[in-house]
Amino acid sequence: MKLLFFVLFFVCYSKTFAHSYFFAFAEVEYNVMQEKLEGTLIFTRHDLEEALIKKGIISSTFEKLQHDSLSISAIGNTLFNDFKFFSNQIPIKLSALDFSLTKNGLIEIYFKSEKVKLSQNFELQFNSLMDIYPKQQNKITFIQNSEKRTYVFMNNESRRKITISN
Amino acid sequence: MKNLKTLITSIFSTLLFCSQISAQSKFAQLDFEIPTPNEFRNASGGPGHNYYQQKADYKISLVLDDAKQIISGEETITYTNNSPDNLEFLWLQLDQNIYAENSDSKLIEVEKMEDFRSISDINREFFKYDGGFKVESVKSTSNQNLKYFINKTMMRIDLEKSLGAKQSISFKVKWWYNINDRSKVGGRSGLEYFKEENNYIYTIAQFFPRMCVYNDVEGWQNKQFLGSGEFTLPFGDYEVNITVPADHVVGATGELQNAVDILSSEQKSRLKSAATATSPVLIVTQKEAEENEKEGTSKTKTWKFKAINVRDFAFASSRKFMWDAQGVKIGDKNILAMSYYPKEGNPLWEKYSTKLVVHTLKTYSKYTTNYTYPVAISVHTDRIGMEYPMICFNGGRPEKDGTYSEDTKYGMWGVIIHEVGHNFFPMIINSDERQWSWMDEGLNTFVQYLTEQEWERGYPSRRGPAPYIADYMRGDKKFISPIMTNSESIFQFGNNAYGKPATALNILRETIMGRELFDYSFKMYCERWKFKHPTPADFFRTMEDASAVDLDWFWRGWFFSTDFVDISLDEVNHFQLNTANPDTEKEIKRLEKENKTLFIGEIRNKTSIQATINEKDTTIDDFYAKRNVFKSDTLDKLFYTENKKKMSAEELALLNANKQFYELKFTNKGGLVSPIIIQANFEDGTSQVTYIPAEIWRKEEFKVSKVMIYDNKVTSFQIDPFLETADTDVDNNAWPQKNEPTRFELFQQQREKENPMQRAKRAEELMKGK
Repeated sequence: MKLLFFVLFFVCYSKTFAHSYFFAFAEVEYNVMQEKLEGTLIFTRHDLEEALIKKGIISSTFEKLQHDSLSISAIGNTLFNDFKFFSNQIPIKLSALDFSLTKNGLIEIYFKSEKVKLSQNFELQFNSLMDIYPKQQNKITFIQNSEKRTYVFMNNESRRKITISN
Repeated sequence: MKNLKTLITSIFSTLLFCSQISAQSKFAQLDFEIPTPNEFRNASGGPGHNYYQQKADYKISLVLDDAKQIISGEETITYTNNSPDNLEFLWLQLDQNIYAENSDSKLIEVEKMEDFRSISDINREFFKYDGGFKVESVKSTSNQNLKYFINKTMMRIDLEKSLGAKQSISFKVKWWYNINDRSKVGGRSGLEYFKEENNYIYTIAQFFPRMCVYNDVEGWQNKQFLGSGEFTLPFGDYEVNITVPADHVVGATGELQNAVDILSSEQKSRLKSAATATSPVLIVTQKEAEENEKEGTSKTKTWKFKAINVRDFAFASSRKFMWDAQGVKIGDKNILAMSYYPKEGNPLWEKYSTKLVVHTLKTYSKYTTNYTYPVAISVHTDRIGMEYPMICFNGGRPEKDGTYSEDTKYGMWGVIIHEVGHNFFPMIINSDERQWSWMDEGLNTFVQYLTEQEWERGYPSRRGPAPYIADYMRGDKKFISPIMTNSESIFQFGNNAYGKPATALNILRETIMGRELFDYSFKMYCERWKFKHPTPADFFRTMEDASAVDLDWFWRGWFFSTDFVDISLDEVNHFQLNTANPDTEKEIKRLEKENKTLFIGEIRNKTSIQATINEKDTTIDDFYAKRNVFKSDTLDKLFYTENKKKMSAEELALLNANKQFYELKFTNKGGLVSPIIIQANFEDGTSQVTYIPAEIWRKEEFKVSKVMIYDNKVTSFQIDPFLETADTDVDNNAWPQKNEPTRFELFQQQREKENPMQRAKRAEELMKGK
């Protein structure tokens, strides 16, 4: 099998941190009225900032990019490569609306999907940052009809099928 | 046949036993999970009457080669066996061998092809760095070669004659290694290169062969260093001579012994004044440091340090360093809080670092045990945070233009408090880090939270408050590790070893035990185990021993399981007492009937049927139709009067008190038993909070009910109103049910207050105003 090279010229990162975080979380709800997925992606800010700067997606800290729609869109486009919903095997288009920074070091990125009718069985992929931090673990809490269900994603299990009640 | 019968009986008995265990397992004592107390560690959680610990004293001479970035050293170790056992061999740690070419740490990383998506990914895989120890010799003090064997990060020295109880042995080890560049290979210890000026900052640690711990729990703790489980080390006294370029400034574990020879008279005078100063005094100013870093030198100087009763030694060296200090008195000890940093750390470091060290020493001493070492040092590095006795390396670097973000500021504050706090866990309360990361990281993160809150009101602590751990704890338990998991096998190291234990201790302090009982017990643990080697069981037992609170259920749920808190308020039923007074009760029934919701047919019939037969024909209604069921008769009143005579005045008063009864039904959805905190909000606008201890779940783990009795009618109930139990789903915590807004909904609400055009207009108006 041929290797695909996505040539990203960034320097080697420090692989060993004494105090690592490596955790991302998403809260997603299906808005029945609008027929859209709405949600929030939450990362440890310095993890994501470092990763996106090294990948050349952003050139400065998130603090300087607040309300910059071009940067928000670029951040979203990158993140949605590794954070995907599939309905009937077809990826659902997501778009980032904005982000906010919390004082305790998190970044919350708000997003919405295109209009979509969710099939009863659909798939989730959430391997954000796993290429850079192999110990990254991600979780999605999916909210439907006030019921919450949480799914865990690991480096070796980054895509999962879930069933929802219609 | 007989065998079959026996088998069936046996299966039945086992099932019966299991079902009994299951029903009460959450509250079973930790008889099987923790070791039986013994002469070394007693049942109260303190050191036993025969407790012992080994001692390792070091005399080390080091040379830091700034041109080649090599460190070489020769050490004499004197090891004292205080155990009752004969030791046939000694084990030493060679942690730097994690960077050796045959290191296991890289091999054990799980990889897949997606990890090699870029050239840099592949470069990283092929990057070679020979950073392991080069051990040149291991000799007796009479220069006889000793037999030794290196097994990756461990070195065994074979003794010709066993080392008996209360005996000591001295031997020498000579070694060197290439110092790792953190920007290339990472690492807790290493160097940072400043290319523009061709200068280095060295922050050097776990740099010399160090004795392993031998104790009553593990024998030799010689588990290989794989990268996560940090260091397990015995106490001892250190004399260390560090030879560095003459223009370097060195900070290290211990007290500087030759300030007279090393420092200028100006520096000595400043250092002296710092000891009694109430704010940091610069020993080396920024101007002096900037001057110093301009040129190198081929001359060298030897800095001499001495440290008593420490478990390790580390140092930092650079010609870029500024150096400031401030005295702080803890108990009867005068301590020098100090910071070393380059100009790149300013303006943050000059302003905050040493002040944070002082504050941390004071706060930790209050909650744990007094800091008794002579110095406490914070050294600036880029990004990392790492701790050693009396010295730690901390990130937090402003931008090149001297500005910094709020995140950088809080990050720097947090990391300094955390790493200086490690002086207490594990440097003084010396737990086994290789085995249990939570014992130092978790306890330290908890006291870090207390310290941060005393630094700034409303400090945005990253870890500690209960709600912050909910996202990590909820969901599929398959990928969550119990806190009681070996350091190398933990999923989510940060949340597991730092966040969850810190939250658990906060919950103990705020909710389960209360601050007074908790603080006393926690301090007792620290006092009992200062300068000793505690285990988890010693902590668990002391917290119970000093408080008279049975916490086995709490340790079991929070530390040994992956259960999480999710208590759901399923149902609320309202009742009132029957007063037995016929006038009162019949009036209540009349009102109930009057207020009853009518069926649509009844409403329409009122107008569509102009008169019924019995309304037109007065002979239809008989006794039953004519009687007033809502009016009491003589018999009712007589019965009531007779009953009243049988009741005491108190019973009568209670009967007439118009108490409101509410039956609340709960489900434990997350599995982790927890107190139920119920807030009742009343019609008159007041509220009342009731704390139901976790033991309510002791016989039934999944569903319980509770009757709450109030004077007023309740309009709503809220469970865990102050977010103190780490409940992972707060949407099922209220009656009537109310869903907490999601983060997205909060964002939308915020966003809808002002659309982008309005915002732009406001900005324009602001500019016009200027």
